[in-house]
Amino acid sequence: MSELAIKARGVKKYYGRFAALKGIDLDVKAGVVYGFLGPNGAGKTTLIKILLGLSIPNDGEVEIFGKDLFLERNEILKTVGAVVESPAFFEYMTAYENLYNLTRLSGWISKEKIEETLKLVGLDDVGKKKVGAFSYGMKQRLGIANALLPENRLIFLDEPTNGLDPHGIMGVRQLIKRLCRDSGITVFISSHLLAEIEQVCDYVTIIDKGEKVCEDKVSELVEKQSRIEFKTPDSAKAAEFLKTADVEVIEERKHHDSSVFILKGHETEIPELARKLVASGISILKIARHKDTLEDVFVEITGKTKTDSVSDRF
Amino acid sequence: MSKLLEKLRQILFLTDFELKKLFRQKQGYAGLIVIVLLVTLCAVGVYLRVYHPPHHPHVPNKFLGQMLKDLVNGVSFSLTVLLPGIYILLPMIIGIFAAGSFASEFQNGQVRTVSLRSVPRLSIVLAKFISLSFYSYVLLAVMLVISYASGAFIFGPTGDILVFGPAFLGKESGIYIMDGSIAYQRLMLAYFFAGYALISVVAMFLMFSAIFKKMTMAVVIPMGIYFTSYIIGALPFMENIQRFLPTRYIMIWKYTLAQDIMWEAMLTDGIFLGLYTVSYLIIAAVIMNTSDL
Repeated sequence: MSELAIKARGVKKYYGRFAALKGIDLDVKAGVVYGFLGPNGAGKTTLIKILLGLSIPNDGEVEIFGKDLFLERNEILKTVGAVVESPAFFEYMTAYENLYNLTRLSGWISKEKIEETLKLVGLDDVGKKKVGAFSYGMKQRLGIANALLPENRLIFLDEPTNGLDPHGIMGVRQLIKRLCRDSGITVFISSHLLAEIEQVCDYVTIIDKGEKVCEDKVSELVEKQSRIEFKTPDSAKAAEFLKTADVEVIEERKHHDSSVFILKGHETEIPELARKLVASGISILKIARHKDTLEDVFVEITGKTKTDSVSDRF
Repeated sequence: MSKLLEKLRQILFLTDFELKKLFRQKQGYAGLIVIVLLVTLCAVGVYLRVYHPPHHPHVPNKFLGQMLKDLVNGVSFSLTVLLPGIYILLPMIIGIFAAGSFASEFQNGQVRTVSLRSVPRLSIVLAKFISLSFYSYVLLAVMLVISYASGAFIFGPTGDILVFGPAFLGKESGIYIMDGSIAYQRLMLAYFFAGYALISVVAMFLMFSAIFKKMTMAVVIPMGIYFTSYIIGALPFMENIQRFLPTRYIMIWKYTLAQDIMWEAMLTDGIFLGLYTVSYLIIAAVIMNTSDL
């Protein structure tokens, strides 16, 4: 069994009577990109702060690389970095000076290593500029550089693409994948962006209202939600047919002159279904496996439906 | 042993970082500008008083002017500047810098950034305390150098000095002339103990910064307490409460100006001042350790 980078058991956190975390368990394998997904206010940042020893839980145990966080925090933080909430630096110092002075607190650091890391995040041209002149996106990237130094094995990134332009977002996502693939760094990302987790992460935990609602491999989680979709101009006929057929209709999306029906079922059932539809005189414009996105999974797991009004929690 | 060395190394690096922060910010020099302003205004005021004395009905102008010319010099001028400086100006400057270095970093998230490193939170408080204490002594040194230099240039470098006992040591003290041979030594002692008093102000503002974690509150509340204590300390019929006021011991340096240095009173006040300082720091450290960042 591979080493666990993070092991959390029964982590609870209360703010007064409000339960921000209601007993979270977490097992994060070393060397993976792990996503932590949930709506705003679900408790993502609270858990990250607890995992970094910035916040004290009311109950629970946390181990980072097998070491007890509450007994050996300073030792653990020698190889753990993070960007929590927004990146906060000393604006009157240059990017290089910020990194040098902050990293020195964790141990020895060479000039070359700092320059190399600045290059890695695309800030090598502005390393000697004061951080006060940086855009938010540049500060985010500097935050990632800071999280990587001196030679961290685990990094926490709290909503890392916030405030970045599309190019910046792509860059950060590629960087995260590269860090994990080439350097074996474990990356723990929190996000409310489902697409981001889907594109970047190997594993995901979904959290809602302080409770873990799901934990799985991203690919398997999406695969588990097998769906078939077909598009037809004969909406009424198809609806009638589906009432009598032995299939579960998940959703019907009505368009101007056609409807898309999303059914529960594996793609191996498509030929049989197609035959039945044709036999019933229903024209088929398209029939295929419906590729669920993590968004579909999330909506299903957290008990929301897409017909609900757009949640203000996102 | 190695753990102790590691902790000392961290405190050293943190203190170095804090000092860089203090001196890299342009506002770090605002304190120096204010000191120059104070010294300049005092110099003009004393110059006019010495060379253009107001008419006094019982003392001939010529006699008063000659007396002041004889007894005002670099040393006495520097001591004259220290009084308003240590009462109001320096605590205000130091307080704002302490709150700016701690509360505003709480507010803006830099405390969290530093706490994400392998450093105990207590070290962060200690490093801020050490660096701000050093900064207090730097401000005092600047005040000493500028005030002495300008006083020496305008009024002469040294000589006997006139000590207004009531201004420094209370109404029961009289006015006396301090021999020029001990004036330098007393001047240095006065500034050294003024620095010791300012350290207590640093600790108080750090404590309130840890409590409130917001710049405005961390400045207004301790500043309010500080000035309220001064006001109450000066009011009649408040004798029973005065000994407990945090400002009661700030003027410890004044004992160096007595005809014979009041070592016993200095020791007592010094211990109380030290206890206040340590208490402030302990509270700041406990709050820092138990706060969610």
